[in-house]
Amino acid sequence: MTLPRDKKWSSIPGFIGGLTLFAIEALIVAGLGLVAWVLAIVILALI
Amino acid sequence: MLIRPVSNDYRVIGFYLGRIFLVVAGASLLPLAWSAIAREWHPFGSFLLMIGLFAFLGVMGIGLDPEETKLNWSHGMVVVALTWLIVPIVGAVPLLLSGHFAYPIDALFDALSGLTTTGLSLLGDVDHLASSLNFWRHMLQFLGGQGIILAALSIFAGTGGITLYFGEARDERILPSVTSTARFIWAVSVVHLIFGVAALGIVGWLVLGFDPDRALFHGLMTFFAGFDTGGFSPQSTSVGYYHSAIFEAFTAVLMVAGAMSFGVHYALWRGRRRAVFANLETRTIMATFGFTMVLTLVGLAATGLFSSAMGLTRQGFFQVLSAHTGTGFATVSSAELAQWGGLAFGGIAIAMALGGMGSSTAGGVKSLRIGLTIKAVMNQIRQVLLPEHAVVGTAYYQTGRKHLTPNLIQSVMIISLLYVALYLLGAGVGMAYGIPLQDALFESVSASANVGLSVGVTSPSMPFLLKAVYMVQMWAGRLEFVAIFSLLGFLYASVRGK
Repeated sequence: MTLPRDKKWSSIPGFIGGLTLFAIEALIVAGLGLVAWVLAIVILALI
Repeated sequence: MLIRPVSNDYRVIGFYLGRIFLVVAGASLLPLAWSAIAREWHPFGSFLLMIGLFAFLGVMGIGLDPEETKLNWSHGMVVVALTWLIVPIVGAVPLLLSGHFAYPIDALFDALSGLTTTGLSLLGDVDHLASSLNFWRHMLQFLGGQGIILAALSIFAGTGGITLYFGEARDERILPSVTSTARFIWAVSVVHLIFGVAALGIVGWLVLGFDPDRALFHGLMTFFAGFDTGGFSPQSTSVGYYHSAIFEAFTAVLMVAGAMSFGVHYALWRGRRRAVFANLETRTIMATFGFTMVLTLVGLAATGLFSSAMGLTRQGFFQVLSAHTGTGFATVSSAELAQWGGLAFGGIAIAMALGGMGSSTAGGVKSLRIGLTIKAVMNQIRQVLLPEHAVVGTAYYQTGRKHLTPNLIQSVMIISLLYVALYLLGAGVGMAYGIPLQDALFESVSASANVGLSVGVTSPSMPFLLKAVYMVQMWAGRLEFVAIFSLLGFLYASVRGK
């Protein structure tokens, strides 16, 4: 992930890049929540 | 034998401290402006006094004018350790003058808790605190999370920059120069500020029915405390106040983003998703999150408090995520959390102790150290099971392919053991005051790992010594020991050095 040479400030994506990053993180949280929900169903069924 | 510092050493340290105080004085103009706009004149006077003190200390420090301004490793560490002590002392002035704290130490406790992004609070009646003071409490978390040092670096990029950066427990340079790394971290923060506040503000306005300005205020405060894994809230019932699954979901996004290494942010931003999932830290935190999640859900299900999968998921998921990311937001009260007991209690305590990723705003042992320890143990087992001359691979992936060296393992084990010792210290003192082991350990881990979840031990009525111990834990946990040992060594050398 470290770049071979110093990339400039301008290489950082703008609005769309930021929105994409936020959306990916929201998807990660949704995925974790979904796994937790499946786990909860299984656990409640077993206990 | 330690070498006694010379005059220039003190002047260099004072000079850099002065620069940082001026940055904080500049940042403090924001709560001052807020108090003026909100016509909160009593806090306005308090902020003026605080800014004056920061500016005075800053000018005094700059005025030391050392002959050689280059920071060495030791200077940088001492500057960082002192910054995290002096900024809360001065930053506590408006809190102390607010009349919401029973004792001066309580105001200092809150300021330190804010700057270390812990979130434990001794504040009485937070629901009626002036909005500008609430803004200042949350801004302290932003300053501590983003790092006063990083802010100073961005503005005063100098020869000693990298030393300050590492001293603040950020050990991963994302870009080759520390200035560009600092700018990248600021860029990530701005992205989350814009989208986080917008998302939470819209939910507050359209779903919760708040006025637009109130929705914006709550969105901003939740952003400060969520993205910086701080955990303060403008309401005494924390995120539970909103009674909204969608608000909790967006808050969870900010918590996850805050606990994510800036290296992982960078990889995501550059579209290198494979690098994210090959990362030892990502794999470790996924595994430990899954483990603590299962423990908590089984424990909660066994209590019989939740009969539906959705209710069980919502409470268990949010609390574990808050604990593991080191945020400290809660959707249940301290009293209810204390009643969970058993496996659920253990799952949350373990999640707090493990913490988030390195080079993030989270505290705790950190997933990189956990991952490296597991890898070292696995390698030892392989070494024993394989033929004598077999070579066991030591490579792992974390922002590139790296090797697990004995020196690395040694430092990982030392820091991890120091965290365990810190957890036990607070628990021991708590037990000496008659607090049950389970509660004493939970609160101690919460303070040391800079989380902020509480089972009710932290209160204005708790003993003075326990307050002091928790403050030391928050300070040591935030700076990961090295800067503090450097400060102690520097002080010893000043007295006994040759």
